[in-house]
Amino acid sequence: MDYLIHLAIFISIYAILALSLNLVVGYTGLLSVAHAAFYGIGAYTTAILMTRLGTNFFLSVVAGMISAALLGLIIGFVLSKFEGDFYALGSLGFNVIVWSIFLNWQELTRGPLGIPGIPRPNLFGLSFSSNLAFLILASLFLILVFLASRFIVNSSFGRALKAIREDEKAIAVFGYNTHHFKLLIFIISAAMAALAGCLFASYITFIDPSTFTINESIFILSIIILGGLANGRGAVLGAAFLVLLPEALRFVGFPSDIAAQMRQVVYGLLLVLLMLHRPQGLVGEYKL
Amino acid sequence: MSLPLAVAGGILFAGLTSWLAYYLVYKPLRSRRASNTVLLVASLGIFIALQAIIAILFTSQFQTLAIGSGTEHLFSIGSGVITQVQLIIFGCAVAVTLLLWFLLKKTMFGKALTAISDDEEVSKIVGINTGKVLGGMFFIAGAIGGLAGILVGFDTGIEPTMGLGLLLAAVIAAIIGGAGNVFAAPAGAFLLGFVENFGIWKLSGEWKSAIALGLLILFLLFRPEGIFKR
Repeated sequence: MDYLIHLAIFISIYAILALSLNLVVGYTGLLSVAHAAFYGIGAYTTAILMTRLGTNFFLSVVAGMISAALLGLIIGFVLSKFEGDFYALGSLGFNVIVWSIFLNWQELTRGPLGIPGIPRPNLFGLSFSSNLAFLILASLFLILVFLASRFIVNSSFGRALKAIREDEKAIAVFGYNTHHFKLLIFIISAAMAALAGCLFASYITFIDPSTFTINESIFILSIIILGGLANGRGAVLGAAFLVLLPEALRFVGFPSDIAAQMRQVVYGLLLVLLMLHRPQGLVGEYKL
Repeated sequence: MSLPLAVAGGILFAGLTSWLAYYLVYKPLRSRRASNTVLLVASLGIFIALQAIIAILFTSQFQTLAIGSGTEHLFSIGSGVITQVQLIIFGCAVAVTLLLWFLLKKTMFGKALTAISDDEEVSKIVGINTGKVLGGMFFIAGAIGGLAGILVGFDTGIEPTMGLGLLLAAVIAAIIGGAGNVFAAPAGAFLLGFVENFGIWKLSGEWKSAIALGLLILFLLFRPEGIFKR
C-alpha cells in the first residue's frame, strides 16, 4: 500500500511539472527544455529555507515560487528573442547553467553532497509526515495547478497564447504585444514547476544537483509530448504512464537496473513512433 | 580482433546506424514536411533509446580502452604536455576536415549535396537522387561521430552516457562556427575549447559546461550566423 502511495505522490509531482510545461510548449508553442531548472529552484529554496532557517513549508513554497518566477523573468526575457530550434537550444543552455550553480555554489547548496534532512510539511500543528497525508497534500496541489492551468487557457489570455502558437505575426498585427504574453506565461509556468520542486524536496527529504539535469527536462517534455500537447488530462495521463512504466517492467521480471534502462528504450522509441504517426500525442490537440 | 580492424568496424557500425536512422525516421518525416521541432524530438527519442540499449548490452559502468601495456608516450611542447592519443586526435581532426573539404568541393557527391541544401525541389528535377545523397551524408556524419567516440574512448574512457556532453559541445561548436563552410565548425570548436579552458583558469573546473552554454547563448543573441558570415 505504501508503495502505491509512493507512486501516486510521484505521479502528482510529475503531473504538476507536465501541466506547467504544457502551458509553454503545448499552448504557446515554445519548445522549452529548461523546466528542470525551475523544478530545482523550488526544491533548493525549500530545502535551504527549511533546514537553515526552519521556515514553515508553506512559506517556503511561496518563496520557492517567487524565486522561480524571478529567474523565469530573466531567462524568459532572453529566450523571448529566439524562435524555433534556437529557443530549444537557448533554454537547454540555461538549464545547464542553473544546474552548474546548484553544483558549484557550495556555501549555499553543499554542491554534489546535496542537502539532507529536509522536514515534512507542518501546518498549525497538523503534520504531513505520513505518506498518506503527504499524498493528500500533493493531490490538492495538483488539483489547484490543474484548475489554474485550465482557467488560464480558457481565459482571453489563453486564447491569445494559442493564437501566438498558430500565427505569431497575425496576432501581432492585431496589436497584441506577443513578447509580453510569451514572457508572462513562461513566468507562470516556472512558478508552477517550482511548486513541484518544493513537494519533491519535502517528500524525499534529500536533494542533490543530479536530479535537475537536462535529462529531467527532456523527461518532462516527453511526458507532455506522449500524453498530448495542449491538453491538461493528457499531461496527467502522460505523467502516470511514464512513472508507472518502469514499475510495470519490473513486475514483468526485469531486474530493477535493467528495468530503468528498458524504460528509456521504451520511451525513446515511443517518442520516435509518436513523431512518425501521431505528432499530437495520445489525446493532444496541437501538433508540433 | 586487431586494433585497426576494431576501429574500422566501430566507424562503419556508427555510420550504418546513422544511415538506418535516416531511412527509418528522418526520411519519412521529411517527406511529409514535418517541422524542425518534430525532427528534433524524434532525434532525441533515438538518442535516449540507443543510449539505454548500449547500457543494457554493456552495463552502465565506466570502462577504459587500454592499448598495449598502458604506458603512454608523452610529448612536451614548451611547458605543456600532450599524450600520444591527444596528438592522434588532433591529427584525425585535421585529416577529417581536409577530407570533408575535398568531398564537398571536388566530388559529384559534394556538388549534389550543396545543390540539395540550396534547393531540394530543383535538385530532384535536374535528376539528383536526393534520398541516396542524403542517406550517404547521414552515413558520413555518423561515421565521423563514431570516430570521435573511439578517440574519446582512448583518451578518457567510455560509458553509455558519454554522448550528451560531447553532443552539446559539438552543437555549440557548429553554431558558433556557423554553417556553410567546412572550416567553420572546427574553428568554432577551437574557440569553444579556448574559452572553456581559459575560463576555468579563473573559475573552478566544474563551471566548464556553464561557460560553454553561456557562450552559446551569447552567440545566439548577438551573432546567430556564427563567426563566419556566409
